[in-house]
Amino acid sequence: MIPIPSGWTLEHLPEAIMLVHPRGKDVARIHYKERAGRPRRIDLLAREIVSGWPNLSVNSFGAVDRFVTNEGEVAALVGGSGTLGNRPIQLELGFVLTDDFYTSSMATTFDPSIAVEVHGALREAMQHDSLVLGLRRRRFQYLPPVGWQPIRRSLMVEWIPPDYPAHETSIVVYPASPVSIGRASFDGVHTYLEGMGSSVISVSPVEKGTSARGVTFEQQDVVFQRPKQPIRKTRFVVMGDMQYQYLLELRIVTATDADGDKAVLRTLVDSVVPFSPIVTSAIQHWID
Amino acid sequence: MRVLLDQPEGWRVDRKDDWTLFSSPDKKLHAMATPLSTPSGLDPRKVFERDVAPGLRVEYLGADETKHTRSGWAMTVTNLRIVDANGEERERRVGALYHMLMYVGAVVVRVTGTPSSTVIVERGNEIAALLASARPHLWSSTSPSCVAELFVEDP
Repeated sequence: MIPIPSGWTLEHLPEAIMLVHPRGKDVARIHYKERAGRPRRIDLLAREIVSGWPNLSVNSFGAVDRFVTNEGEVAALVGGSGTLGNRPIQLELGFVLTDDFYTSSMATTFDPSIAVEVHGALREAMQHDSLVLGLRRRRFQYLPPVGWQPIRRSLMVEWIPPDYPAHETSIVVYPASPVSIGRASFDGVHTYLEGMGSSVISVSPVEKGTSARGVTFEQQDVVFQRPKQPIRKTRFVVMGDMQYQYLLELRIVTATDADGDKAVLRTLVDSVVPFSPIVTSAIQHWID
Repeated sequence: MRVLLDQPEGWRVDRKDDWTLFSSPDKKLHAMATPLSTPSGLDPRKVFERDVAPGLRVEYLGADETKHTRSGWAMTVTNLRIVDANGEERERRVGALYHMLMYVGAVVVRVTGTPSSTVIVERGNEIAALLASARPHLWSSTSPSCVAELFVEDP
């Protein structure tokens, strides 16, 4: 739920709300829908919304303003100009994207002299969008390995290189996990592997480091083998802060370019954006 | 998600959704690459026989199931030709069916230069290289696997 900008008023709509500028809805308004659907690529969402809005035509969209709400959710705002009916408008489309849904905002400004004001009001409101999803298993931001392809496994993703399977390597990125449910340990990994019938052949010393973004991590290389399967070398990386652990694995079966693969992993580790402490605005009860 | 091929120099590429069309500069070779789907979601014969004009029929000349792409994906290569009611050959086609992880995809190359039986021999290496370059493109605009996919067009 987004807060009502100061001086604006609220109107309820079927499954959405409309926030009305102090000077009236013919000056500017913001439509907001919580849990508008499954998250998809921003440009697709923008095109769908525009094409589904009666009498709306958009000339062009500007660059996407990407940011993070106070609750640590990914948000995007994109502006454009167009017409609604035969009236020129400035348009702002806003999205707060979680793993399971997105909230959708659309600001329509008819008076160009207040476009900046309306943009600011919407961005501020989105910054304080209270979804109260809390600490949970969730995807986190990082830069995908260049040229690699993602195999989606629920919240987890396994990245394979361009020349897979000849180059049988992958990087697994697990969802961030709240430390409140327990911290992963390398001893736990060894126990798990042995419990699955693997023989642990060798284990490197635990190496500690700090990513380029200041997140501390530990990593360990484990060589193991499952019965009748090739030997596997896995680099386990555990990154963490006060709220979350970020777990990654580099899995190598065919060591075509092990050093190169480790460099790719390190680049990914350095790009991990940790979650900021959550700041949830007091639940805003919309008052008519 | 779709089958990704190397784009030969000078070839034109057009994409619509997850279908990709390639055309050689001399217009003698046209290739179409399909989206990736589950095995039950793809009938390779429908892909290979696409757009066959009424009155013409398809003759399968043979298939080789032992092939692999350059990066090691299993590939079945099928040769076929399109003939008219008099048995005259109108077009040659080479189809490839790929198994990539839990998905399948296909490519069909249409040889429209005449006579196509000659062109397919002359351009055999080029066709083979194109088919062997196939690999999966797994980025999805509708089911993002990471935050970056929400913002980036197909890389």
